[in-house]
Amino acid sequence: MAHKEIDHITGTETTGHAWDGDLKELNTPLPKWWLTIFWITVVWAIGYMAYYPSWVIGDKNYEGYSKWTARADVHKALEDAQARLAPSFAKLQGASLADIRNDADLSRFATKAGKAVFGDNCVACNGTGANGVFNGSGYPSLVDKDWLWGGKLEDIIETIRVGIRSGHDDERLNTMAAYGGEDGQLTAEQIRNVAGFVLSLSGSTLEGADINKGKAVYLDDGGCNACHGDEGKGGTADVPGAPNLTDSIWLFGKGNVVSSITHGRNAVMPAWDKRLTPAQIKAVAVYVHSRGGGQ
Amino acid sequence: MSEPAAVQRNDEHITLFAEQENIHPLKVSGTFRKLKWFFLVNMLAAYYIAPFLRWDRGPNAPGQAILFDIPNRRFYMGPIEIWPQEVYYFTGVLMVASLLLFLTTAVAGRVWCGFWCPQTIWTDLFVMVERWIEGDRRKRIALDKAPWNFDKIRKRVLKHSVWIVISWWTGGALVLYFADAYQLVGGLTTDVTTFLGQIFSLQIPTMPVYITAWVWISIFAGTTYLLAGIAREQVCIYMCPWPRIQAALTDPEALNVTYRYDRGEPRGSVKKQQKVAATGAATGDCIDCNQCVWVCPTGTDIRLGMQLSCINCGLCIDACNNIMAKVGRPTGLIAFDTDLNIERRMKGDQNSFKPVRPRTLIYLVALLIAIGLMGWSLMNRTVTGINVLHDRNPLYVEEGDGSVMNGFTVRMLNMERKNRRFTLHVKGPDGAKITKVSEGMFVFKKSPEGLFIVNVKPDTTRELRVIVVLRAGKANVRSEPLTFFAKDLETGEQLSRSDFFKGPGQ
Repeated sequence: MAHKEIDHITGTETTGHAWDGDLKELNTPLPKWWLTIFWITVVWAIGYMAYYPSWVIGDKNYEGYSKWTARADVHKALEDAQARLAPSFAKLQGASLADIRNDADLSRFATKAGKAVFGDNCVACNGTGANGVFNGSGYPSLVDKDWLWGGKLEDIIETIRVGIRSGHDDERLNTMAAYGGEDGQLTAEQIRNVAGFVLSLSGSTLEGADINKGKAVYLDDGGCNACHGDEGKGGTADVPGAPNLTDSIWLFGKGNVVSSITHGRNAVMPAWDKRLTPAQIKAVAVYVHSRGGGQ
Repeated sequence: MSEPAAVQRNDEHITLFAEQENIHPLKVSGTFRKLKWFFLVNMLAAYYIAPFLRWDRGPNAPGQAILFDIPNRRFYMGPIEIWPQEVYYFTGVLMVASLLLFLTTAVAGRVWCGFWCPQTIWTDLFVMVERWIEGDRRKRIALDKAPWNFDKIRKRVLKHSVWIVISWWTGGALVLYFADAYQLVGGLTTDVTTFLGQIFSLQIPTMPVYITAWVWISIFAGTTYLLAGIAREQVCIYMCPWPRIQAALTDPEALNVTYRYDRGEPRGSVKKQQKVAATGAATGDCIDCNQCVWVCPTGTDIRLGMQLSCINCGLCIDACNNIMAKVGRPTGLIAFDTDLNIERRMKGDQNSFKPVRPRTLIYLVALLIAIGLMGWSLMNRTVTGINVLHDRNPLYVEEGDGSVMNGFTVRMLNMERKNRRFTLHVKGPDGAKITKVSEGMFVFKKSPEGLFIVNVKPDTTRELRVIVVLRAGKANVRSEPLTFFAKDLETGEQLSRSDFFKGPGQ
């Protein structure tokens, strides 16, 4: 049947296939080059499958001629990034604190790098905004001006390096002992009184506490002033790390003062000198300092 | 119910894929041909010359009138300078361009395709070269069929060489929009002379300095050669989406190149028509000379009506008018007209053409709005700016002394080509004050009045950390408006940006 059948209305050749009696398909041939391109893509696909990892065989896969993996790409990208940043970190490592303060570029680099280090290592305890977990959680806010171990850049660097009660040889160490309990130094009543006195320093009250008796406990029986000072202003250069009791910031919560005295408080921050390089510690200290609380 | 008819198959003769037939447009002269030359010459001239135009922007800025400086993220067009965050201007340009396209399509069909599309222009140019080397339609068809003798090889080599030179120059001009044109031309010339020198002294050529430019030139030269030299009308018919889209943008009132079959049919050669006329039967004006098909760059027979392959260039109108003049019949057998008019004439009604109708009005109004908005925003474009981002975590910090601190990231923008110095201050809740402006550990100095001074280098932005403190006793705020002001120390120009001061208050 090698005759051409032309559709009268369109003037186009039909394929000759008929459905329902008279429904016919028009034949509009595609250009040959279109077909050629299709075959080129097929050949390309075969080459692609040979060059890149493609077929899964059991629990393995064909690695491809190129042995390409996304993982290797990531490693390469990380290495490249580290190599790119290495000179800046080297410069930071060698820079004095005065250098960092006076060099806007170096300072900018330290802040950005420090933010990344902080995000990778510090946010779990100190919060994504460096403001602790919540007020009274025991994880301090690093954004305010209240610093137990000093808010100067040098102090922050040292704290990060050696940690607090971390077991490091040079650790930041002091102790808030437990004053309550069976064998405790103070009775429950004394503790309540001294808590009331301490809270009164910042204008708060505690129900059922005798402030005058509490003051006596603070200065004599408890000996709180040994660390917190006669006026409750907190640690000095000789006895560092004791919090200021006269301000409105309560690391373990304003409502937990009785509990703090009874059971003691000895929160830990790990030392980072093994985990972070000195340049990274400098960078993260710059970031923390720049958040607003640095002195 | 009757049995469905058995499927008849005649697969033997069916060709599902068609060989490309080379189309050899015949030379033609006339109004539309002149228009096409006019656009071709002017648009190509603009394309090739524009990168070499200069524009003085002062020191520290490129002096090229049109420059897409991708490494530095700056686009320059004469007095206009675009930063990456202003990329919406390109959206605006695209909107204006597409509305213009809609409007012209609604008024006169695919005139874009016929006169202004790069595919049309370069194909026209390439066909011109072909005609110049191989002769007109008849000679080219003959050459296609001729055996590969010396003459054919000579002509083909010459033709493709000229095409390649044009293609190379097309790609070469394009890369000049992306770098300093004079410098790049100098660099490319040095590359060529170095290469030739190495070849002639029998050395292995070294990698050219401007390898990136060479790669891009090769890509664009290759596509130009392929699309304008080889693919031609195949691009319009099979690759381009525009013939499909135009169906949605046009209506029966749009002018299109139309064969006026009311006048033309029944067609026939002059001799045949004389015989028919002798019998007293009607004859049309079309003498079936096929000139309209031969001059068509896409090989369309317009007498079959409006169709996808017609690019509305009007060359068939020129061809038909010339013939009509020769045989002494009125011209305009093919013309920009509508099928509606044909029907009107067949009914004995008057022609009518309505360029002003709701569709064109809407396109025109939208076009004017888009142009107006673009112009307005370009005229009112700020060259300095201040952006303020409040810390999200923590929203505020309560200090031990009862004051409240808010941290902000402030970005100062200086698009000018000179250094600018600003003082910063805030207005908000009574007692709110900037206590520190820093960049990392670097704390900015204060002016004698106690305001922080920030220096922003030319053509840069600077990100600052700004600490605002509301002193104790005033700190019972929850959220109050806070406005940042940056005042230029030299000009006194003041920028401001509003934000909020957050506190623990109820």
